[in-house]
Amino acid sequence: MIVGEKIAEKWSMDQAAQYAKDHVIDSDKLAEKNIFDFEILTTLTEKASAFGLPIDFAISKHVFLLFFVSFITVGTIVTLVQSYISHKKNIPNKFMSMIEMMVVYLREDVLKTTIGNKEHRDWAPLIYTIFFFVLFSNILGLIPIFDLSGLIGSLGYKFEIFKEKYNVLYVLSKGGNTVTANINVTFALATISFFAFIGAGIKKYGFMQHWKNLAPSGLPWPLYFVVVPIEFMGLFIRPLALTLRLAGNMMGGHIALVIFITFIFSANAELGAFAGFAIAPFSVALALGLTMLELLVAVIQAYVFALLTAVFIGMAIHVDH
Amino acid sequence: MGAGLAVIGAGIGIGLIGYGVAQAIARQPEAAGEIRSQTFLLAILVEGAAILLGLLSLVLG
Repeated sequence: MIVGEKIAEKWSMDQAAQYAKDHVIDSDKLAEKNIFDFEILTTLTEKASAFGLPIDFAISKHVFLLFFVSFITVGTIVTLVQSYISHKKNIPNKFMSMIEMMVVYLREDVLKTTIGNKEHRDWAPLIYTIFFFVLFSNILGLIPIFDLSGLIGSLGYKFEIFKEKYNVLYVLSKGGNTVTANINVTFALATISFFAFIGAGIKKYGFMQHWKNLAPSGLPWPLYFVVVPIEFMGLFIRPLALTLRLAGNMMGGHIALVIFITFIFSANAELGAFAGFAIAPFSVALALGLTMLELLVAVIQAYVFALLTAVFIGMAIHVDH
Repeated sequence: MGAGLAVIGAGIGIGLIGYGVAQAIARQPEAAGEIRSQTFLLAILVEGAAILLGLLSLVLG
């Protein structure tokens, strides 16, 4: 973790917030250096900005982790399901039965109750994909894979590659992030579900009828001046709420974890080394408990994201008349 | 300050939901599964507002 670096240096209380922030945000953006500097991406960025589009194509740490998570998600699910299908005895192994349990739960309790018996098959792949992607990225944020590479790096400080600042290993060894704690990532996910629930309505009722369905019919006409703007705002608030909920939950948990650990350093700086040692067990116990809570939150938030997408799709399909 | 207020609001909301759920399950134990999935949805909506406020207080403060 980032905090570990600073043990030897002077620590003051007001640094804690900065470390918590550094842990959560895209830290190699702060250093103004990307992990993978491909020339083609730089030129793409320049061309886009010349065209008037402020898009950064560069692969920062979060983008790299996003690729990593996608790779792991697709790899795990496809391998497990393929091996299960091609297996002769048809007995699911441990992980396969876990995935099967989640899929069955999602189908029975989420898809069939919210979207409906008839249409749920059309939208099932989307909901499953969202669920597993969010679940894997939440859980991978909790497994300190890259912190381990940092530990190896700190042991192998003699090697030249770890000394040089801002190369791939250096940046990665500053700890992995939860990609879903980045608000841009969750915004992209919410955009997908936004288009999904607009598409669901259009697919069922046709283009014009879907937009008419947004406001309930049969009201006295002056009321429409109030109802239509509210419904229109609600349309955009839904993905916004999805975005903020997931990012906020993940970010909040990680900030709290870092703050609990910084109690040790704060006590050490303010009250002396003995106080630091005394507070360490409590601090670590708190952080451990919070990590357990975060495991629970990781699953719940993935479920919530999938559930809300399903609910919104269901609302677009089953319009109250 | 803002985070504290957000927590108070969400605490009251989720507490009320929990109260309702406990009563509903006690009255109709056979409908527990259905009630639970409805609970999740309501709790999420309450929590969403709280998180929005918490984030705002984090950004502004």
